[in-house]
Amino acid sequence: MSPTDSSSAGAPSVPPTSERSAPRLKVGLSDAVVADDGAVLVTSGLGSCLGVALSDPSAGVGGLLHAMLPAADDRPGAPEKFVVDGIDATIAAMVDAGGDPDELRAKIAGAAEMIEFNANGADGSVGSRNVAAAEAALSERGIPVDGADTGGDRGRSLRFDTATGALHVSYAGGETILL
Amino acid sequence: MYVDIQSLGEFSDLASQGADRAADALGQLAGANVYVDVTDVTLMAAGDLHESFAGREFVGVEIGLQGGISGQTVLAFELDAAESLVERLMPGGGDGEFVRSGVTEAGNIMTSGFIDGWADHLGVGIDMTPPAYVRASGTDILPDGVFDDDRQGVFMFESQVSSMDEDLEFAIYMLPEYAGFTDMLGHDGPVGEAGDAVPVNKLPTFNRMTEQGAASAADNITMMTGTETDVDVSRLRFVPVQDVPAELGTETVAGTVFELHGDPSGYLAILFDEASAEEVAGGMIPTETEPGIGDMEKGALRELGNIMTSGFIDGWANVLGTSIEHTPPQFVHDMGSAVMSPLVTRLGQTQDHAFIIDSTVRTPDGNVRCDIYALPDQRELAAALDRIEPPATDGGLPR
Repeated sequence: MSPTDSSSAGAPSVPPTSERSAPRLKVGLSDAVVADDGAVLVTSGLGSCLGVALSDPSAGVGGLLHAMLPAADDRPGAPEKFVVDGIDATIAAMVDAGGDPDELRAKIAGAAEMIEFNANGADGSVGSRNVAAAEAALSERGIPVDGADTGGDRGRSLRFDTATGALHVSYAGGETILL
Repeated sequence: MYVDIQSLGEFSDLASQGADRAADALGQLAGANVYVDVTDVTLMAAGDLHESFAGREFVGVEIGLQGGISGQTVLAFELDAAESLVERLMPGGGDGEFVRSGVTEAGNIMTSGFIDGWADHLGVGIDMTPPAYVRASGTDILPDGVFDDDRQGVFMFESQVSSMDEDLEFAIYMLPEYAGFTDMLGHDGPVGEAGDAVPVNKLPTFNRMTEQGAASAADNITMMTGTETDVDVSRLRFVPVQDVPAELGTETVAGTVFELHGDPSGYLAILFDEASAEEVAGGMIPTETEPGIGDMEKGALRELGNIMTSGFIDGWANVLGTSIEHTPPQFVHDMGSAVMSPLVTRLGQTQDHAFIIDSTVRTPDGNVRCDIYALPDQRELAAALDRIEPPATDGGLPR
């Protein structure tokens, strides 16, 4: 998939980050960061991993998760290593920061299939399973997905403006799209 | 001497937490968000450590430990990095006395965090002497006990620290005295099931074997492209799986990725920066091509990757006495960290930490650089190392 065939939900009409002096916080792999001060959350190098950006616009709380695998199912690692467990952990941290679980909205990006492995189980690649896990988990929790840029064969980096809910997706070489 | 992988993982996590605390403290002093990108444990032969520290100036703190862990621990920064860090904290203050106090404070915070964490984990008390500032060249910075036996492995914790807002990037090294560290983590014989523990005395052999594999891969580049190359570094690190992609950063790389099947199974990535990829591919293509990495270059890089991989893993298979096969090359051209993330994601399904074997092949003028990353299944690697016969290891000690 090229960036232009993504299902972007359109850009929010807000001042770009560069016109405000918002703090920038890094989100690692298997990590999630929540902000209630309008911070910009940044994560890089998503291959088959999935980024899930959650926001409660009314409370001004946003969170970004960078998860590797669909669900823990007794595998080792922190909840943020997994899409489903990480979404729950991020929601919990957002509620602690004053967010309302009934007001959350989501955008997702990542889950490329850059490398074809010989042993892709019968249930598909990690990337597509990550997307399916996120869609199911968000739907079960009543969280609408406002934008998605997933799949394809290219890696992505994400910049999530928690003040506006804008999710900037950039590719190697500098192309950027806005969800 | 065996170190079980689970304890090594816990120790690595504690080192990460200690480094995170130090980064937070530095960030508060500097008024910036400071992050630890990765904390890894390098297992290397003492001689290799000599080589990689040679010609570098370090400053740091040395702390004596008694109780649950005993011996000296050194925490070191490269002098240039320490000076620019202190200059940032106190403009105009990047001279001797401020470097001394800044380094002492950062070293004390990090070492305390690390030691306290480990004492809690072990449920024992560990006393620390006050930190002593040290400045030295090369391996003189290390505690004396590091070189008790030149054929043993050395454990080094290395944290890469950077900031989102500032042009700030440096490494912190922490080296516990070998004897104290192995008294705590080591076992005389294998523990648990095959593959649960790493036989540390086989690691120097494995490093040499990897160097030979990398040297043969470098020879292949020279043969196929006419460009002289040499192996610059080769080392074995133990890293939380989620930190592996950060080792590569977001720079665009081009190259090939392979799946390995056998003992051990795993993944191999042969990655060039874009300019190097164009240069080596150009050396293989007899005609002039358009600038950039097109179909001709892709084909050349696939062919080169295929031959390099065969050379690399044949060396492993010979020493380990196993057979390892590889899949056809898959071309990749993307952000380094994004290329690595699908590989560690697959390893991450069964393990929380990964052994990463990283070799750098360079031309003497530095124009071409190729990084070879091997990511073996950790249990299969540990089990395969255990099967290396001591007489075949050239320096392996009887256990």
